[in-house]
Amino acid sequence: MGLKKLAAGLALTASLFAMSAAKAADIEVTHWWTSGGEAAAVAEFANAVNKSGDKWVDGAIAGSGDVARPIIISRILGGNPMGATQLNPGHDADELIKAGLLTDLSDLAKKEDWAHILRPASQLASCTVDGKVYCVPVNLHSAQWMWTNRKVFADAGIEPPKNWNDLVKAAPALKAKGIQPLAMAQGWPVGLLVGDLIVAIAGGDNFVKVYKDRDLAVANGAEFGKVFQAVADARNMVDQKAVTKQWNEAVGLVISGKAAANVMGDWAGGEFQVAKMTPGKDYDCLPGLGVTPVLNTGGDVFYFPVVKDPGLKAAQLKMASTLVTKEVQVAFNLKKGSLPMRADVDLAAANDCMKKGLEILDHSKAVFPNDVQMLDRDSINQINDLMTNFFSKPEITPADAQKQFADIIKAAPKM
Amino acid sequence: MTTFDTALVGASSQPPHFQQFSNLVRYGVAGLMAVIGALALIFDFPFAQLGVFQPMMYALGLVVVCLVIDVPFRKLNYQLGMIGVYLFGAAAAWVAWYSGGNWLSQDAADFIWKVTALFSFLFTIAAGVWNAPFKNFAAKTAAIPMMYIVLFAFIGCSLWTVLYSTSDARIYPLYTYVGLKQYYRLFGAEIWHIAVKNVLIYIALSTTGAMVAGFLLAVFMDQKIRLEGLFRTIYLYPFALSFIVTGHVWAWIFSPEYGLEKSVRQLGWTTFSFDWIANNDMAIYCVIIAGLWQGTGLVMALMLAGLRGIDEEVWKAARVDGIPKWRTYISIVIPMMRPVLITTLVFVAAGAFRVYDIVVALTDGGPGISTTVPSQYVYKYLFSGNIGQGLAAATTMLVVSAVILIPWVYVEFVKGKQIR
Repeated sequence: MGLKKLAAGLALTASLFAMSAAKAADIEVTHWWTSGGEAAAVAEFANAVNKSGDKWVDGAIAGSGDVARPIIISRILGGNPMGATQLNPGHDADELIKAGLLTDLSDLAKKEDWAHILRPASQLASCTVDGKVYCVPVNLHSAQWMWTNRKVFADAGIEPPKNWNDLVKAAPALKAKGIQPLAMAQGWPVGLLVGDLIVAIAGGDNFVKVYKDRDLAVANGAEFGKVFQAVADARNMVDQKAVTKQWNEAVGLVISGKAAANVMGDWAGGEFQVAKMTPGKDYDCLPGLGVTPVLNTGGDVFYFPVVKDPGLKAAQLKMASTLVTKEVQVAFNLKKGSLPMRADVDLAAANDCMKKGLEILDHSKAVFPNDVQMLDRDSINQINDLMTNFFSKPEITPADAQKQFADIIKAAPKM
Repeated sequence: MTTFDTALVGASSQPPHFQQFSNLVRYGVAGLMAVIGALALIFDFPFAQLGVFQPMMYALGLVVVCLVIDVPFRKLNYQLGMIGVYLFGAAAAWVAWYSGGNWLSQDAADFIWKVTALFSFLFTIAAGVWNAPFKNFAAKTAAIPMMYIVLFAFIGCSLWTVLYSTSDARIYPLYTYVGLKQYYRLFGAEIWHIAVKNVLIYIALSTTGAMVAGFLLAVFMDQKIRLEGLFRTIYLYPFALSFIVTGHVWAWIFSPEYGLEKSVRQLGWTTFSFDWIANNDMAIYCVIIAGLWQGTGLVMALMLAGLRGIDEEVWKAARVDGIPKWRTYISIVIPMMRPVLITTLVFVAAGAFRVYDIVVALTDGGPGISTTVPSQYVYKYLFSGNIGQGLAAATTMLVVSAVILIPWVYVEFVKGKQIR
């Protein structure tokens, strides 16, 4: 009896030790990829990491970047870091880097020659602070897309729109049929729509002038005045009763045919793919809202917080390297609807939307930085608040909104 | 015996409730502290886990230990010495941080700081036990967790909040004094004005609503009705749901696309319109309705307890005098229930003041930003790039609630006692 107990105890101890030994390479990854297309894409990363011998412990945070970012940052600050985390390229992590909380990946980047295999250069530049690389870019996203459901237009007897202006013209006819011309989600998607309208109407150069160079003359000028007028047009097109809470619900309205169009980044492509729809046949994707075919270079990057466990440290570097291998890049980006970081991969399986994006990315100068890469998050939040308020209250005039916008740009700290 | 207990007078002159520990305990505690100290230094625990709060935890630890073992009043010299040792380490850490590691390297300062903080902390405990007797040891030991929470969470963190609201800390809490800049921005922000207006409407309507409805329900329940237990459960049930669940359920009900409006229209009344939740001016009332639905049950339970506490003799006397029932409630029962009423009011008002989760679940501040509340503003800025701004908003909330609560505490507890 006593011996049995002893043996059981020993076995238990042994298994505990075995568990803690296996745990050394468990790598907890936080991200906010929870919609259908995103979840399918992140599973590709998880598979690749598991295959490399480590164990991917999924730390998905439902909601959006606005929900997840505070959680991720406060965990790193509070001394309870995850193994790796998604963030957007930009200035969100600047202070964490200054505080020495994120791992320096420079050696790995040099060894694998990231500077040459990853393009465009702006993405790696966003990861680089004082000459050191702190994150690995995994994909390119652009926000300037309009998505339209062709069947809705065909049923209404209207030619599917080629650009934003066509949609504005078609709006009354669609409304008469009981279809929402433009589906919208509340919060940051409003800011995204405004950003897209700025680029489409005022042009990418002016966008950079205002966001990066803080040119107040342009922000107060006539070109931006047209932008705010266009936002007011969009405000009239949207059925305020049907504004959804999440971006993917708004895309869902387009997919199901309750709404005709939605303005959203290329990550919406993943949703159409999950719904088994074909671009050009079931739906159209129009870069630059069809007005000016330009794309910005947002995307996702992975940061690796500094940890003490040497086993986990090694796993972090291995994961960073895995994420930019050719196979993983292709598998992930096809599902995500985003563009791969490497130019040397075979994208025969890509759909028409992605090919349109690649075409602009590789052969055009119409590529410019993302707002997060030019402005601090605090100012972007203020702009989003302003735009959502403007968008939901018809009594605010475009001129008022433009003035408040210029004030935020004026007060934003230099980056 | 040893150097640090020579000043102790003989046991005979101590009051009877003072006690001296046996040598076994004294050596045991001293040894234990030495082992903890050694292990902590070797394994670097708990330094890595405490993060930015380390210095505060240790300073507070020292204060708590001093309070518990009563040493400052007995053994002032070496106690001051220990605090001195601690402050030396803290100063080293500060010098390194202030100079960015130029005058003293971060690692060296870290080490000095760890050793001194640990030493002063553990030595104070060991010496305290060694130097027993002291007063009410068990009671004070039991109070340690509470002392920590009060000193650290309530007082310490509040002071930290106020201090950092005068900084321009963004993501990382680094202190750079900027005066009242954060407050100027706060009071100039339209979204803050909307938030304040919303919370005032919410407090006014949800407290009066919950108090009146809760009281009426309690009176109804007090009429010796049948199935009282069942009704009580039904009324109290919403309170068992979290605000998040309540918010989501009501979001469906209010939604013009799926909820009440559509159902009524499908029943045949096609012009029926109920779209408050999509209306900038009315959405806040949706939040209030959902909040009332959830909160009234609790008020009813508290009020019912108050009503049951009224002596049956009071009712009999009122009946003998021929006073109508409603008059008895208003003129006799309600005044007698004053303590319950006040407590409930403070409960409900405090809950309304910090309203957060139901707004997040029900409207998420929308449409636009029209149902934003102050706690949402605090959270939003605190964790996404502007700590100083979030803390300025938090400080404003703290000051406002203090202005309301302190007179109440004074009247209820301080002045009331003096009169009685």
